[in-house]
Amino acid sequence: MRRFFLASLVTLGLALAQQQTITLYTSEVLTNVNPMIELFKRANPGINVQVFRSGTGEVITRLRAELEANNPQADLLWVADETFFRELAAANRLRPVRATTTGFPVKFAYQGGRYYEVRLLYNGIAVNTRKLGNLPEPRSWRDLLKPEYRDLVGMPNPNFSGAALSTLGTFSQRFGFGFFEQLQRNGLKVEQSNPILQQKLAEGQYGIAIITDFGIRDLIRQGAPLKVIYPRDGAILVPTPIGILSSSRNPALAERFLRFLLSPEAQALFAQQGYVPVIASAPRPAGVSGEVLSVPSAADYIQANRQTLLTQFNTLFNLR
Amino acid sequence: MLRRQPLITLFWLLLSLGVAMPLLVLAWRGLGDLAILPRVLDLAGVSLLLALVGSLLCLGVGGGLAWLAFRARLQPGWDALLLPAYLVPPFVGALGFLYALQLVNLQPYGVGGILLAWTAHYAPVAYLLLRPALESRLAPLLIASEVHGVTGWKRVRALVPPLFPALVAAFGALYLTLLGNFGVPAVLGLPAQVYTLPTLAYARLFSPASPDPLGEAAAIGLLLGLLAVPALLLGSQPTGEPSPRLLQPRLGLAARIAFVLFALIAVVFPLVGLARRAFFNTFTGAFQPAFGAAWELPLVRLGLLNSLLLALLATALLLLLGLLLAPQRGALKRLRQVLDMHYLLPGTLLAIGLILLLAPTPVYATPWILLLAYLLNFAALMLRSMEAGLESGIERLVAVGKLFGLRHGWAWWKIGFPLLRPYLAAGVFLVLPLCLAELTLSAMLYAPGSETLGVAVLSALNGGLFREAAAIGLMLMALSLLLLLVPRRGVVG
Repeated sequence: MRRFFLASLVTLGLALAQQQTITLYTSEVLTNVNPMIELFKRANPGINVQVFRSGTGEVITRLRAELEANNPQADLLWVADETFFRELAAANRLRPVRATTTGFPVKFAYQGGRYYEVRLLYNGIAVNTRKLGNLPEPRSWRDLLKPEYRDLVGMPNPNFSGAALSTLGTFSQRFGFGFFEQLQRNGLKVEQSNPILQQKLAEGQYGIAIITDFGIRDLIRQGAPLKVIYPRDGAILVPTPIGILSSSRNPALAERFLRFLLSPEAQALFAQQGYVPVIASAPRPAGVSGEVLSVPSAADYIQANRQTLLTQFNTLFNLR
Repeated sequence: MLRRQPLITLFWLLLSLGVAMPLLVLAWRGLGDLAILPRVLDLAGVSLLLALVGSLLCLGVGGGLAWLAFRARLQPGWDALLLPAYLVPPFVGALGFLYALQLVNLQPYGVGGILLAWTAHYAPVAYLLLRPALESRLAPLLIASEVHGVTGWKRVRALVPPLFPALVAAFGALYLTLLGNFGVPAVLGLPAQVYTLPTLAYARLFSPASPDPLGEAAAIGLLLGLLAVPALLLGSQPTGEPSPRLLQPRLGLAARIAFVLFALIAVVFPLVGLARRAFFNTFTGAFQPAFGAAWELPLVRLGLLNSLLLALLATALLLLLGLLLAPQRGALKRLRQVLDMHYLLPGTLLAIGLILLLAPTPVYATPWILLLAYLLNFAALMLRSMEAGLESGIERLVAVGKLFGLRHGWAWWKIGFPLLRPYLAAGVFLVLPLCLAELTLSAMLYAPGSETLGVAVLSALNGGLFREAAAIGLMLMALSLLLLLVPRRGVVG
């Protein structure tokens, strides 16, 4: 019995010693990133992927603090704020990776392959059809200002969600910050994150949400009375790149993970999870046929005005 | 001998300095960011008011129950109806109330919900603090007033003043706890943009809009410490003895109904809310338990493992520390006094201090920083329990053993430690559940691989996994309630 116990301990010790670990800092929702990691681990036995998951804002602030203390923990960063990747690339903190995947659009290998888009997500409008009742569905962003939608609309907090920061920046550039003031007067409320907002929308606490599209499709599968609407003046294509930090302790493994995300099986899983795969030959998510009519996120504008935009928004909605 | 004194003093001075280091670093960094304070003074007011009103509510409910139990001469067995509410972690209770009230179409976000969850969780603490004082201070006076026929307003005037010291001490303890509480305002306040200073410090620490997140969090921590200081000056916990048998039981039915009602509102109601979410599909109403999905999250499995390991390790180390120091009562007391700062002051201060101190070291982002934080935070609680045991005269009995020829260590082993056992059990009963469901420190100090169960609940909530959060909450509730099985005598319950 004792021998068996010792042998088990030794086996466990050896297994742990052989296991290599990479750390991923991400804003990708847990229910999506976990199956992706499982798929990766099945193809790469012996590699463990640790995840720190939170909203983009929180992930970036944490990594920033770690970089300041010269003790960064992440090997890979995967968040919805391209401007932060630009900042990291400019400081030479990202490791370039050569794009070799067939069918991968080169425009999504940013800054010579320092960070990559691996799937596409859009900010659109989602509605709770039950809550909306007989009201007509909004067709464009400006429809949300109509008095009939008063107190029905919600959006995530741009301090926390990178996608919401895209909304804030893109609308501010396109319509002016006054658009948010009008929305606020029409009763727009702010929730912390996309996942929280989509749950509350599904439960009928909201009728309409300015929100990322993929999670809504997942809730529809679970039976929620929801619908995704891509506005006719263009959904916002939210950049959510992934990059390898030059401080990574396991750059080769990190690169393997990044390349895996572009593999056919990973792209197919993205489609299953409701995302639009970045490789054209991959399957499309259910309910999305053809191209999504979209406008790019105003990354340059956000980079130049981030603090002002967030401060204005926080003051308007009394966020701290 | 005389030469050793300065060395001993120097040792204690250095130790105090080391223990206080996180707070000193926090103060240093916070002083550089005082510019944020004018912008958050309104929230300091909200925190202060919430903690004051919450403490009064807990005192009212817990004190009321203590009074009824005292008048009805309820057996200690009835306390079992109040203890579960205290054992369920406050943020799990908050989650339960959130889901339970949503079942009846109410949104408990904001001040009302926070106060409700606090009262449900901390009224039993007020009960435990006040019941002994009622027994020791009030019983003789009540008997006297019955004998002399003092009734009505006169009786109230005679009975209340002697209770003041106990009431003030209990109020101070509750105020400090509520002021530093993070979990309940995180679950019920943040989504409604109702901030308290601990949740604000957390929000600033992770805010991309902040030019210096750590500095601003430290400055808010300083403000929080400032609000805590007056309560530190209030008296210590009251103690008491059972009252004489002469007191006739009154209000028996009312007391029993009140106890059952409290258990129904504070435990069963949130339990129903959690169970409804965890077992049934929110949209279709179909029976579809979310436990499997919750268990599938590596965060939950890891959180459970880490929380169990950290709680057991921290409790074991503190027990060991207590046992090693028990034969040196003076040293134990002095160490407890040094460590009191981290037990009494809000955990947010300790967490920010440790980040500032240890971020550049290899300890950062490992479970060890959490273990260190737990040890610093809860050491005083365990040592207090040991002190209570030592005050009951154990040392005299050990001395008698030595008179009969037992060696010092052997005398403690055979006589002292066995007598201390109920107090050790009480210490375990206090520290283990707090570590198991710890959130204030973990939320700020965790890293990939060192997530705790509290962090798992918070992450699930922030990630919109409401049903999974309910399932983990139920799991934590069950785990905490298992502690009711820990044998305990003498100090608690």
